[in-house]
Amino acid sequence: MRRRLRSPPKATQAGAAALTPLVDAMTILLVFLLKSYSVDPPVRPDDTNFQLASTASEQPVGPATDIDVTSDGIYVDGLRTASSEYYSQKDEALIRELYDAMQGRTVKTVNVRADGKTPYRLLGKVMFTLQQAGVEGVSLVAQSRSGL
Amino acid sequence: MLAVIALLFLLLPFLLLTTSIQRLAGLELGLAKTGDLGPTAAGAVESIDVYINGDVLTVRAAVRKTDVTANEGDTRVLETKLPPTADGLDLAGFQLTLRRFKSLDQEQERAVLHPNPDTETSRIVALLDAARSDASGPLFGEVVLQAIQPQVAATAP
Repeated sequence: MRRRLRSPPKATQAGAAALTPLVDAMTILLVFLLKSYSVDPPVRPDDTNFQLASTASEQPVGPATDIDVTSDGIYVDGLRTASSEYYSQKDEALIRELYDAMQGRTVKTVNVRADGKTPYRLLGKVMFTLQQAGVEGVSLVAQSRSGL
Repeated sequence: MLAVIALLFLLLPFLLLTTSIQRLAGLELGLAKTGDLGPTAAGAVESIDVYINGDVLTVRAAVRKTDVTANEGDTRVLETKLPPTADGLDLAGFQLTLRRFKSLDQEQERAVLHPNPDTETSRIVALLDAARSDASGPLFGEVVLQAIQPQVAATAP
């Protein structure tokens, strides 16, 4: 049986006009996604209680040693080094385990990713310890409001 | 037209699948113990300190006396106490106060935050944001977080 080759039907003007709102909507969505595009991995996704503070700043986070301060512990690059509860109650300002963990590192910049509810009693001790350990640059990481 | 739609159909799922719902921002901090701060610009306002005590903010500015014989360090302290609003910290009043001091001395870029031991990180971040810029433009580019002192830790409950 012989098949006849036909040229595809030409788009009519009415069909093209019907597609225009769709293209408009998709263009708006595309621009929105490009503007808010982020490849930052979620911070402590397994900890449901962990919530970063929100900020209006859009300054990106540079590569550095990550120090997470949560309600249960202080983590250096994901490894738990000290107990938050213990150092929240203890009088000593220096967190010895954190100090020791920072001593062997050549990178002297850190990103402190603290839970929004962390009291300054603990955050201040982390900062004090970093200062004593010779850290030169500290960034407090927060969730930018410009994200999705 | 169809080519554009095809491209959009490819781009949109790719972006939707690869984007992260949160974008992180880094707030650079200066850390200093008392007396460790370097010199600031020698203007009319020699220092600005912000004390956070619960929901009450206290802004203290050391303003150089206008007397012609006044030297560096010969200052008077202007203190503004900002009671809390219904939303918590009076950030709008805080920015107005900082703007007032900024207008006295455009060269001054440093403000020092002194949080209370109970101050939550989210409040510190909100104050850092407020101190850096307001609707009129940048305020203080160098916001220093006062490092906790051993004796402060000792007095904490």
